[in-house]
Amino acid sequence: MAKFTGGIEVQGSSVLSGGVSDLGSGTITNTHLSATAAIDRSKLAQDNNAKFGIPFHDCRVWNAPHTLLGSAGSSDDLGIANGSSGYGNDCLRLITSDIDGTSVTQYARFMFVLPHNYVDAQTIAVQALAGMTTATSGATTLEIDCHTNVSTGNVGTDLGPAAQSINSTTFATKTFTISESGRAAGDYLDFRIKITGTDDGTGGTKYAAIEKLYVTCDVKG
Amino acid sequence: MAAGDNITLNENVNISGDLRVTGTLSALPTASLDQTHLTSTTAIPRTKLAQDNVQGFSIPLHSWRTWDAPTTSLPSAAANDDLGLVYGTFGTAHDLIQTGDCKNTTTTRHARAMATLPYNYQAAETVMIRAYAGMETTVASSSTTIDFDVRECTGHGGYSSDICTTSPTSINSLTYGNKDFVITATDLVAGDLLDIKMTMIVTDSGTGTAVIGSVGKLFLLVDLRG
Repeated sequence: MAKFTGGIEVQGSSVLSGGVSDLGSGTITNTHLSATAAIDRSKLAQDNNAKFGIPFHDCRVWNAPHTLLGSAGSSDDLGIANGSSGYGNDCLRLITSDIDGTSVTQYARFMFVLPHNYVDAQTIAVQALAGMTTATSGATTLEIDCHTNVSTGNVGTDLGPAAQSINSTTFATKTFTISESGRAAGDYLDFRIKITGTDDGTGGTKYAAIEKLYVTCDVKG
Repeated sequence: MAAGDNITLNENVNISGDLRVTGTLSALPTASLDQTHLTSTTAIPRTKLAQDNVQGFSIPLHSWRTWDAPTTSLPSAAANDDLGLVYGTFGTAHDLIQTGDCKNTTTTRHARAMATLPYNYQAAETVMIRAYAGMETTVASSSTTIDFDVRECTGHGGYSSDICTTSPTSINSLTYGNKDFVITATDLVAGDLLDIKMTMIVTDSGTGTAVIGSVGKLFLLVDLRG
């Protein structure tokens, strides 16, 4: 093996027919890339659990989705309401009716389309910052149902996981993993939020609420 | 050895110092660079990423509104000149935008939505609208078409002319299919706001069962980078 302990200046072209090994880490900068490098998306790093916010205004009456949510939870529908002082400067929230001494099951519905940079069959989830206002109940749970839209009126099976407790006055992020098998960019997903609360009537008024809502998925670029 | 002659080394060369190539380094082997060779502050600009063509951004069915009263959601059943947002039981059937039953008549119905070209849209590159559409129950005896009228908004009340160049397209089949509508993109850039009117026209006579035009998915398709 020939060994050059000093530098080499090559004034002509260099042809490397073999591989280049041990190119130092961090030696390539933007200036080394052609202006027309056209780096493929598949060669970008995958960003896992990228967040896509779901505005509460996009949530609708679950069984009459041409209808906007009411200003308070009612019947089997969640409401969209201003938060009270102490809960984020009147931030909007999805909220049940008062659960005190009763049982409620209330819903809202939204649609989400997997974005163009979603990596096929990679992780999909719903994150909800949820909890109870004023007081806890006997039990309150949040569940996310999810069906794929196959576009001729039919839907796939429920891809959502089991319900989780949100029966705490300390709001916390609850993550619901959606079955990702067979999913691809552009898939229409039909989501239903379900809050079920039961209470024996002690502790005064109490509402379950969601204050942030995201669909997360793994993307490139 | 004369200047300009090639030197062939049949042995491996190990360079402990720097190698400076003032000529062109050609034929770097395929796939010889990876993530580790990039500086942590490489900051590759979007212009150096590959352009991905006709990538879909949903125009959600719920965002379509009554075309001439856009403060109003679509009705749950088509009526007058308005398409309807028709829904089934959650978990059993999903929403569709439909004409309603138009048998034995000629019916024209609309819906309206707005869409913004995304931040990574490449100026003046392809823009299209794609509708996944077909017929429910029975095809029309004559025809059913879908069409889009697309206007670029100035942001202060003004409008372009209709920049959708594709003519009304038949959806008169019980098998749903993608119908693409080309938008003139000459003056379009990321962030441009489009006002879109969808029109379905059913022309039918002598059909005994329901004749319903239907759309299950709607996309804005654009060329983008990153």
